Amino acid sequence: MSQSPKFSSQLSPAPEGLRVDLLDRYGLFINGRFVEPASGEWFETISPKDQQPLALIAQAGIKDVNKAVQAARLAQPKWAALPSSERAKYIFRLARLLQERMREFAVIEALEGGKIIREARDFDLPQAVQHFFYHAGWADKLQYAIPGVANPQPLGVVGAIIPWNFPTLMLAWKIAPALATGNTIVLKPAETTSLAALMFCEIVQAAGLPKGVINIITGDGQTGAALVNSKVDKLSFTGSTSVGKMIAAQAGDRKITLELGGKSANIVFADAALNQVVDNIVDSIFANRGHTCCAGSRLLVQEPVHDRLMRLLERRMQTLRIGDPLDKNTDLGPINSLQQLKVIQDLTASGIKEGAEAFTTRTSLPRKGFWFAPTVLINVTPDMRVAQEEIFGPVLSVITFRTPEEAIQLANNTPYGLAAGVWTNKGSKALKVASQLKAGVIWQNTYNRFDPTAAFGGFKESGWGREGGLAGLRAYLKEPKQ
Amino acid sequence: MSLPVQKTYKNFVGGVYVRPESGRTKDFLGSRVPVSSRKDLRQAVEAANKATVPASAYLRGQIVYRLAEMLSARKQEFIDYLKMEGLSQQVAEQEIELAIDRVVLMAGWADKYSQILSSINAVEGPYFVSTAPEPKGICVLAAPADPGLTILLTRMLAAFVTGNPAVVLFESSCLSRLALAELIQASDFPQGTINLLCGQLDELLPVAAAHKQIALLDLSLEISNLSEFQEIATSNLKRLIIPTAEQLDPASSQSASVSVLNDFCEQKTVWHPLGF
Repeated sequence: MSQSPKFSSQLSPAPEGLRVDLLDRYGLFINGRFVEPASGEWFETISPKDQQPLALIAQAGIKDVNKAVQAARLAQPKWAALPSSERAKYIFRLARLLQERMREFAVIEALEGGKIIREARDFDLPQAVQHFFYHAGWADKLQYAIPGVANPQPLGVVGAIIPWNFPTLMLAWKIAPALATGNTIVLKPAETTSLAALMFCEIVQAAGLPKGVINIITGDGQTGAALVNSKVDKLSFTGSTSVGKMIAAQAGDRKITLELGGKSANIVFADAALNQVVDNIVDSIFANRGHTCCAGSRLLVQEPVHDRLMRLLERRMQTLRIGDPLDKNTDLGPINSLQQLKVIQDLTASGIKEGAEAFTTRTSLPRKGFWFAPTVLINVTPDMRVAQEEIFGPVLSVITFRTPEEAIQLANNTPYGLAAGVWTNKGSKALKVASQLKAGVIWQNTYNRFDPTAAFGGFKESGWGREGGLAGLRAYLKEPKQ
Repeated sequence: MSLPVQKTYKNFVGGVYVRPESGRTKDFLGSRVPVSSRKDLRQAVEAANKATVPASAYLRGQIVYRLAEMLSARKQEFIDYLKMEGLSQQVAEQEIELAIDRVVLMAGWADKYSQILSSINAVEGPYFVSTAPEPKGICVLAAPADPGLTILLTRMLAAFVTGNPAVVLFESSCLSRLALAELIQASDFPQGTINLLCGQLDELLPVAAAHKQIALLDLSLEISNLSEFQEIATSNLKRLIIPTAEQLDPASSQSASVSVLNDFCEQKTVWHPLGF
C-alpha cells in the first residue's frame, strides 16, 4: 500500500435526502380550496431527467378561468379595505411559512423543472422568501410608493402568467407586490412546472388568507389566453417576447407588466480580472442551464484577451458536472422540455452552419431525458441568428470588439434590452458604458445578481415595466391621471 | 398552591443581564429595579460601541420581525405588566396590539427607508453622484414617562433598523421595559446592539449629553432641566432629537414615518467620474 491515491475530480454522489409526498392529482385552487376543473381535462407532469410521470394536473378551461377571476373579484374590496397592518401580517405569514418549507419547494423544482437542487435551494427559494418579506413591509407604507399620492389605490384583480425557469421565484414576484398593494390575483404557472405553485396553495391555506385573494389555475397556453381575455384589471406576464407581444395587443387600457426575452451582452474589457470573469461567465450563461431571460448569452470580448479568456473558459467548463438535478454536486441539470431541447439544438446548429466554431464540455450525457452539453460558439458575427435570437439554453455566443464605442454599439444591436454585464477594473469606464447601454439591468464586475429591493426589467422588446423595488410596486397601483 | 418564584429585574447590557454597578435598587410595584449610575451608562455605551449591527438590511428586518413574533407570543404577560403600571385592561390590550403591529411595521422599514431617503444627483459634469443614508452611531434614547411600549419600541427600532446600536434609558414603567430584554434576547439581536438601563434620568441624561462616544440623544419625554444639558450636548454637537407631539402619539402615522428614521441617519454623498 505504498502508492498514494491518485487525485480524482470525481465526487461521490450526494443525493438530496428530503422526499416530498405528492398527490396523484391536483385540482385548481379557486376561492381558498382545490376544485375539480369544469373542463374535466387533466394532463400529466413529468420529470425531465428521466421522463417519469409525477402527477396529474388540471387543465383549466374558459369556465374555470372565469370562476377564478370571479372569486378574486369578490375578494378584492375586502382585501383592499383591511387595515394595512393586517394585510402586511398576512404576507409576512406567507413569507415565514414558505421560509419553513423552502427545502421541499427546492426538491419539487429540481424534480419537475430539472433545475439543480443547489440553485433551487441556495438561490430561488431564499430569493422568493425575501421577496415576500420585502413586499409584506410595503403593505403598511404605501403612502411612500408614489410621490405626492397620499393614499394610492389598487388596480383590482391581477392576472399573472409565469414561466417554467423559476417556478417559485416568479410566483413570488407576482403575488407579493399584488397583495401588498391591495389587489387580488389569479396566477397561472407554466404547464411543465405547476407543482411548486400548487404546493404554495397549502401555504395560502395555512396562513389563513381570506378566500379568493390568491387563486392558482393550471394549464397550457390556452388557459393563459383565457386569463388574458378574462375580466382582470392588470396583466403581469413573464415569458417569451412573442407571447408578450400578443398580450400587449390584447391588453386594451389595462395596465401591464411584461418581463420578456433577452440577448444580454456580457462585455469584457482587456483590463478585467480574467479569472474572476471566467467564473462569472459560467454563472451568467450556464446557471439554470441558460434558462434565464437575463442570461449573458452574448460575450463581447476585447480582442487582446480573447484567446486567453477562451482557453481559461474551456478549461473551466471541463469541471462542470452534468447530471441528476437532485444531486448536490451537479452543475447543470436536464433541459426543461423536449420542445426547448429542439430549439437549442436547431439554433446551435444554425450558428455552426453560418460559420461559428464550437467547443463544449467533453462529457457523456445521460441517455434518458432531455440533455444538452454547455456549448461556446466563437467567431460569431453580429448578423448570425445565434447573435440575435434568444437560445434560452447553455449556449454562449462570443463576439470580439476593439474600442468601448464598438462594444456599446454591438451590445445595443439587438431588439432586446434586458440586461448587460461590464467587466473592467476602471470604475469610470464601467459607469460610462453602463450609461450608454440600452438595457434595464447592468451588472458591473458581477452578473446575475437579484434583490427584491432592486427593480428588474427590460428596455425595448425585453419588456414593459419593472418588478421589484419601488418601480415594481407602482406597477400594481393606480397612478394619478396626468 | 405552591409558592411562586419571583423574577429578579436587571439591566440588559451587552446581551446579558447585569445588576447596577453601584448596587442601588429601588422598589417598583413590589419588585426591586436597578437605579443605574453614570458608570452603568458608560458601560452600556462601551457595549454598544463593541456591538455590530448587521450590515444586511434584510437580516435587520428579520430580527425585528422575530421580535414581533416574540411579543405576540407573550402578549398577555405584557398586557398584565401595563395594567400593573397603571393602564386599564382595555387600554393595555390596545397598546400591546398597537405595539405588535408597530414592530412589524418597523421590520418592514429596514430594507426600504434608504430607497426613500436617497438620490442619484443630476450634477453638472461627467460624474455619477449618489447621496444615501448611513447610521449616525451610538444612540441614547430616553423613553416616554407614560406607561406603554409602542413609542419606546418605535424609536429603539428606528435606531436599529437604520444601523445604529442603542441604549434605552427609563425611570418609569420599569417592569414592562426591563422585561423587553427577554424578547430582545430571544430575537437574535446581536449582543450590545440594544441595551436597557433603568435609572434616574436627571442623573443619567447630563452624563449622556457630555459623553463624546454617543452620537445622538433622543428625548421622548419632557425634561425639567432641558436647557442645561442642551447646552452640554451642543458643546460637542451631539444630535439632540426632540420628537414632535405627533411623533410621540402612538396612534398617529407620523410616529412611524420615514422622518422618524431619517433622524437616526447621516447622509453620505459619493462622487465617481464617468469616462472611458
